[in-house]
Amino acid sequence: MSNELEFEGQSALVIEDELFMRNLIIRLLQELGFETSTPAEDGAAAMQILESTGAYFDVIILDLDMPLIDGFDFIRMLRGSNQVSDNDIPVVVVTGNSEGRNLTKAVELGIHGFLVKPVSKKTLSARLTRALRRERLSFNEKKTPKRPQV
Amino acid sequence: MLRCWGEVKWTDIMTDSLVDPGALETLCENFRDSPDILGLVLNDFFESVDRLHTRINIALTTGDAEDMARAAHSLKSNCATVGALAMADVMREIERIGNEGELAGCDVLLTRSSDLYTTVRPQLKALLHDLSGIDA
Repeated sequence: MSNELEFEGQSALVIEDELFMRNLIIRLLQELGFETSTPAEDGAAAMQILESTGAYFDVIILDLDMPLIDGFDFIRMLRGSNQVSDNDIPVVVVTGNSEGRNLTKAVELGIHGFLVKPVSKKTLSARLTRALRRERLSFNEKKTPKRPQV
Repeated sequence: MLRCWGEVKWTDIMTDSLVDPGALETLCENFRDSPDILGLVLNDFFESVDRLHTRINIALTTGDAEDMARAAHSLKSNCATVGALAMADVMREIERIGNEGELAGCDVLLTRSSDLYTTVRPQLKALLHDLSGIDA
């Protein structure tokens, strides 16, 4: 099955403060066959879209490093909100910072994918495929070092 | 057929460039089915350089190390995406200094980035044209 068919009809909320990266991700999603991609320039704008409009999205693509409400705070707010139609919506994190502690923290908060910039269509597609199955990233048991199961 | 998918890759040719051709080749691959998008992506990048250079300059003027670091972080990622690695290195250093709450030396680094950009911009445009036939 091609990517275009795999993601046909899907919708995404893209939360990224940098315009260049936001546009790039939205264009990649269009290439992958997403039907709609809604931009939000920060976590506050995204929460307003989710809570005030009641809009439904199949997946959220989230930058971690944003001003005011960063990606970590956004995930906490999302998961704790009772005003969002689906507060367990899959989240794929995109970050320019590959530090392990960021990944650990994000996984503990409940995410479904983790991407380090620069973003490629192939990697984004793989992360979205998993996310749309609603499989959260988790850590292996103590036998192995803390690494996400992919 | 776009040239970046031919047998000869720019990675084999441009050794003195300030641009890593591999990054643009990846972008070409990403938008293989709609190459016109490539010009828009590169123009978005050029816009971001002007905007973020200005923002860093303002942060330097107002003494806002935090915002300087944030702008440098954004531009670092943008530069890496298109393969402008020398500029990304400069931005990484500005970000590091800003994250320490300092500003010292960043005016020189910003000038360095602007100087690099005068070379990087035409290199990116030429590379994109040769890889895809698209003009930005």
